[in-house]
Amino acid sequence: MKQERVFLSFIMVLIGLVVAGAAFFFYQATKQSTPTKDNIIVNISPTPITDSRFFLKVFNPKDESLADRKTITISGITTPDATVVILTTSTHEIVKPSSQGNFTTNITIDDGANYIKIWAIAPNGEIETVERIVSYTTEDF
Amino acid sequence: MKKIIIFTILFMLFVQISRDSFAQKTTKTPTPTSIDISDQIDELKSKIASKVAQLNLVEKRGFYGTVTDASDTQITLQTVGGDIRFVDVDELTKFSSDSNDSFGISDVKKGMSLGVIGLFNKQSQRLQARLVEEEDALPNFFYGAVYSVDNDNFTLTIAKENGARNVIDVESITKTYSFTSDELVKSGFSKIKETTPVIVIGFSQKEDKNITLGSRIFLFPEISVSAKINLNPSQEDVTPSTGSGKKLVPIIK
Repeated sequence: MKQERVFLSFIMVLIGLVVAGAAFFFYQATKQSTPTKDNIIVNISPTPITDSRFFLKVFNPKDESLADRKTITISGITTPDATVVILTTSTHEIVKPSSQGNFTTNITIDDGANYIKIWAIAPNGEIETVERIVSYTTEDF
Repeated sequence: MKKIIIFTILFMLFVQISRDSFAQKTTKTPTPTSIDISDQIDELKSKIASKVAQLNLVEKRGFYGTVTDASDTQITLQTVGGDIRFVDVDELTKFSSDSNDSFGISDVKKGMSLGVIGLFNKQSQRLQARLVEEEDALPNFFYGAVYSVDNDNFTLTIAKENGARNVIDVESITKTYSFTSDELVKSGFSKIKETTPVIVIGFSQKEDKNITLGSRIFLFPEISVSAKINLNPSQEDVTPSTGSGKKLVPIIK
């Protein structure tokens, strides 16, 4: 009987240790490390600046591209209140962009290299320009 | 004795359960199979990227520029934007000119305007020319505001954003347009008013490079003059007075 008690006590101590150990590991696993005041890493993300400045972007045509048709499409984006002037050495086109600032128009190009100058003029007279060279060829090489 | 056995079983069960629960929480390490697949995918991606790069290495392009240097096998061009472009010429390169039927590489001279079409190597940044064509020099494109109008000589002076002023000679060939109410309408010299924003396309005169022969004039009366354009009379424009009421007129040679 005495032997049984000793053995039981030993088992109970063991169970107690295991339970305590499990509780400790569980606590460690779930514990979230709260950064101390000294270790706080401040991530300075740049403040997004709302670009309200006047701009002009031309999507099409690409500079120094080739065209196998005499009519090409000029498209891009600027501020909605701008006036877009498209000039080549022989033709011109003036368009007003949409309410989103997008513009698209077709122009006719000449043989060989064509210089295209695109101007966006703001109501206050400010300008932005983009230049493109588009070469017309039907040759396959 | 039974109690001991029950406790032992319970203890073993408890240990097993706690081991399982901890095993689940440990980070999963990728199995060898998943590593192999991942490596294979990466290798495949790399191969595809390499092949795509090879295929896109050469593309058709067209240059326009002024010749800064020319040899039997190479032409160096300066683009409108001021960039330098290198053009390689070989036996397959064709030459063309409206003014010269036998135009060839030996006729390419410094200062000449050329249009070149060929295969551009993105890696070497050189164009293998397939067609070299002599082109006309580009006209001048001005943006500014009308500073003054000379009704006697049919000229107008344009003040530009950089502070420079250009005299535009308006001839019978000059076409004038006005952009009003979102519409481009034909206009004339008499309708050109001072302080109107304007775009002018024209060619510099050989005799006086400050005078441009206007080819097309676009007036924008509904647009304000840019703050960068100075329309105030410059020091040169103010005719100095002698103080006696008699104006000094500069001598023009």
